[in-house]
Amino acid sequence: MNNIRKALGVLALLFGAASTAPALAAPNNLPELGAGPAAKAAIAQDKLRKDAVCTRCHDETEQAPILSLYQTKHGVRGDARTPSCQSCHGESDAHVKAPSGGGTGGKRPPPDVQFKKGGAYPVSHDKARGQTCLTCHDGGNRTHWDGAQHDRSGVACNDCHQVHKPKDRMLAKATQPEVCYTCHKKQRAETHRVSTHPIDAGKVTCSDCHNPHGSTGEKLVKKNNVNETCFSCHAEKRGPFLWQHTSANDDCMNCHTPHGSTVSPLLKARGPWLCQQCHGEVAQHPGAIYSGASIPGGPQGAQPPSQIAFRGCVNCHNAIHGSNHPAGRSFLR
Amino acid sequence: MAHNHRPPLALRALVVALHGALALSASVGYAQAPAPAGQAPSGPSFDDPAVQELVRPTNTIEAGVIAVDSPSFKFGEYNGLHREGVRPLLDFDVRGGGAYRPETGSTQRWQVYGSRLGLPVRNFGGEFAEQGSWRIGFDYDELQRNFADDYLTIYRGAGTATLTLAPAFPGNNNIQTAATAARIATDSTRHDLQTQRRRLGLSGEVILSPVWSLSVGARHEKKDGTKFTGVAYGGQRGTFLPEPIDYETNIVETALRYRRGNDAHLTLGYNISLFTNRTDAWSAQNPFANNATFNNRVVMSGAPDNSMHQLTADGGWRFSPATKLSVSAAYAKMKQNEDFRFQQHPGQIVNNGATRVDAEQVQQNFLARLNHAVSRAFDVTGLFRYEHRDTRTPVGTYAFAAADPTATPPLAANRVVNNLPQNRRQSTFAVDGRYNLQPGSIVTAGVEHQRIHRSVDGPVNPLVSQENPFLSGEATQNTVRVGYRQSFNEALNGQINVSHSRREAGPYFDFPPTGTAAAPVFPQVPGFRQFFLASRDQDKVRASVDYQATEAWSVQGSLEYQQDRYRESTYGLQRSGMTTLTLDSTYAASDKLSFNGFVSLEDGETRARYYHLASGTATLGYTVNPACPATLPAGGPSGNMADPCRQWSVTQGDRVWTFGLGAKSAGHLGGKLTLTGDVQHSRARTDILFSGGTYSSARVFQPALNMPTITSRMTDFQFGARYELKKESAVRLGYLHRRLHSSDPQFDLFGLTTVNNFIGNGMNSPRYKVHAISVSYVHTFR
Repeated sequence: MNNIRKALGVLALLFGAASTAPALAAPNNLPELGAGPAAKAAIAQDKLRKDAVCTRCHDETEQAPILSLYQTKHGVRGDARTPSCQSCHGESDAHVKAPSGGGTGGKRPPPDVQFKKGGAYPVSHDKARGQTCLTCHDGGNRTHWDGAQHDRSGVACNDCHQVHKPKDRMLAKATQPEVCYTCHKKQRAETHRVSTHPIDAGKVTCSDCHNPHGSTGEKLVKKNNVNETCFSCHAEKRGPFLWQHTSANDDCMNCHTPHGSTVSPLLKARGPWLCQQCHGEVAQHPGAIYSGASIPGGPQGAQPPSQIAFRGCVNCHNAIHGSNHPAGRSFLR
Repeated sequence: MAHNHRPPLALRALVVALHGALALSASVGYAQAPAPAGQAPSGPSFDDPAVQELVRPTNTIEAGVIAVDSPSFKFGEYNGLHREGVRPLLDFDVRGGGAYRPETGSTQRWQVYGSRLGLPVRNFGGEFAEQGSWRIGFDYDELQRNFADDYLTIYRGAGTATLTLAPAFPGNNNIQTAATAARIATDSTRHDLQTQRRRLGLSGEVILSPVWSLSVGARHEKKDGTKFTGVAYGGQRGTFLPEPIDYETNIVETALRYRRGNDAHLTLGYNISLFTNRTDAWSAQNPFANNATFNNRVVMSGAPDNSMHQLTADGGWRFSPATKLSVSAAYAKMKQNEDFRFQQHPGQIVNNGATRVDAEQVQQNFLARLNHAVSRAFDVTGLFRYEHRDTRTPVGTYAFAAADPTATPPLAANRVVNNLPQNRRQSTFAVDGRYNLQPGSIVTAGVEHQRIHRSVDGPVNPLVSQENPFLSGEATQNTVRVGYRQSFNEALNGQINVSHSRREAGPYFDFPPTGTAAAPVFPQVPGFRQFFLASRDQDKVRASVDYQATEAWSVQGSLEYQQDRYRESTYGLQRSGMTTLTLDSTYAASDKLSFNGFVSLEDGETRARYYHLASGTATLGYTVNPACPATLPAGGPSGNMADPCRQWSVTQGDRVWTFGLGAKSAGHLGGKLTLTGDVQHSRARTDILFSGGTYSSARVFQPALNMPTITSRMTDFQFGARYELKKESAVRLGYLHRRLHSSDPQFDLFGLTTVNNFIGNGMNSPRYKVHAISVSYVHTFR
């Protein structure tokens, strides 16, 4: 309860800070918000007039639907923040002012920024496409876009997002992985293994763990590091425990591979051999050989050791992520 | 007695949602206000049905049934189709609001959706927004994870925190004793291992001004069921138990955003995550020989309740069109102060009688990234990342008997230990550049330097028996990466990225022998290295080619390679790597017929090397192995680290093939029928191969033998047909056949009493053949 009170206190603080916003609002070029119906209608009419520069030609007869943008958040014309066609595609004077039927060669010059690959004009450079979106979307999840992995790799926003489509595949949990698999084939292959997260079932998707726009963590993980990201769903493994397991506390990926594995649950290798990658102690059983010689049918298989059966070491060391039991140093309790 | 008069979170969330709905309904009239007369744009006419087709949302409601012919938990692991029989299907997606009439200027949008409502994996939610002013949404999601339906347990009370044996269970340390084995067989009953996760998410955002906005997201998650957990009873005896799961996680994330023009933005956030486990402890009756010291039962601690509070600040400043600095900082405090749940035993020490540990970990993160476009062709990014995880749990002294031995444990000095809170500090410096050689030709290059420091907080007076778990506390890693992308033309693109990193571990502590020089005994084999602390070379290659051969046919091939080598590890993990090759293709035979296909091969190998050195065996005699001429001298008292017949290695090789082929054909029966078909097949094999061996307890050389191959083959065939009855209605038919055949010797070869001191679970590697047929009616409307 104390925690909740503290949280509410901080929330109140945030609200308080926000209420002082007008005083802090420095001059800027953003539109005024909170307009009434009449003002919004006027804004809409103005925007539609601007759009008409393009939509008088690119109308409902376009093979790739243009007007379906009006179903998306970008197309809400009463919202002063939303872009017109030329906000993203550029003023494109040469394209707009070319005579009907095309300029030289019967084809209009290209618009300033061309997003669609395989269209009538060459696609613009990824930087030009990306910066167009960042004009408005440069904060929040996109804070670290510039210079992050996807930016460096020449990926632009519309390589993944479908801005004109009513339902962007990237924004739906069930369809997002297919977009990511366009480039990340290894991860697609791994999701066909015996042990996976429920990705195919549409319950876990790539952006549940990754921020593709750039993040503070490595591997574009959503949080500051791998462990913090895993604890978003697996909070029971967060502890901090009385007895911390060094490799688990260090990095979940020391033992797990998150996209899919031949070993349940999402393990990099099988027990007991996975554990033996760190545990070669002489005393007791960690350093012993567990091979085909000691399984049933093997020369020593009459009395097989429990370590080679089922889940290996975890058969007994169940609290392997950490223990809060006073006798849990060996993660048995 | 304290009373809590606050309504539960879900109720409070409902109130918030209702308020939002009321606000929404109040705005309907306003939102539908007609456009001012005389201001019609010269663009498309929104009265035109053809335009309305594009600008009004298409809503769908789909209702039907799905029939499954046979039960399988593995088939239904995450899809809710784990039982045979007929289940209802209901999906819907309805959107509306005045914003879908762009000419009105309304900014109101709403959406309600639901999927698989007839199955225990249902999802539904909604969002209501006055875009540019506020937004609220909710999402409810269920996930039933079906782990195993062939698990056998001798315990009664599965699903509760008290697991008991049937009366007069003949506890015996050797479960292969005839009477005990018979009772285990007769007492074992099937229990479905499954968990149910229910998650309610609430989100909202208020745009306070052109520069300020506030967003809040909350998630309440409940997970219950039973989990497959192995438990030891002492003397390396044990069994599997259905551990009761009753978790609750509440997360609140708030963010206050400030944006100044297009060049600066700042987000301040406060995140809370609270985890509660309603199973503080659970107990199970001891099925082995009577153990009065521990009341003939084991008491297990549940995962402790814990909390995390985190403050974050993220900002970006584009101080010139060519230069942007982005900075993030976070400070998190994680706490855990759950009561200890255990059985006190004679001689046990629990930190001066403490009842809890008051564990705390502080995590600090900082990131600064500066991106500068030196010219149109060249940009460079510098990065500094810092992370410090500082565990501040008080250090205490504990003495205990691990795993409840039968006899009253005389606690030897080496059983007295301190908890050692672990710390980790990591700094990363990186510089990456990108240079456009010419249009379509780009080179990237970067270097990265990383330092990691691991440590523990020791007690004021360290115990002589306690070692630092970090045998190497320092590591530095340097990485060089280069890449090249070439766009030959609009149809052909390729890229390759190569990186090499070298990690240098600090001095690695090798235990000195604890025995006499004549008979050395090592706590750990000299030369053994824990892989995550060891020096390592890592090579990565990632390459791909995209070729649009014709307007109808495209091909894409890719290669990913990673190899880790632990160059200074005489023993331990030697290397680990994976190569993945993929080939994808799509072909559009016509506007109405298209195909796609892919094949991927993953080939990985992990190799570890060991020296088997059982404690105190150096002075024992050996049977000479003719293949090991060094055995006799090496088996002597002082040279036991030089016996080649004590060396062994294990190599796990994974090879996975995956194939997929899909087709879509439309336009049949006068354009009313669309057919789709997909088939996927994957086959995986894991070989665990050994070399070398060691001496058996009789001091006779015993070679290690390979494990039987572990395999899985899965085939998935899906067929779909959609027949348009009218423009706004259709019937969909679906057929799914999936079969899995797998083998796993670690389960398949071990029955309930195969191991004389560990009661088995009856589980086998999953195998199934399932057919499912679905039929549904789809209604669409605007």
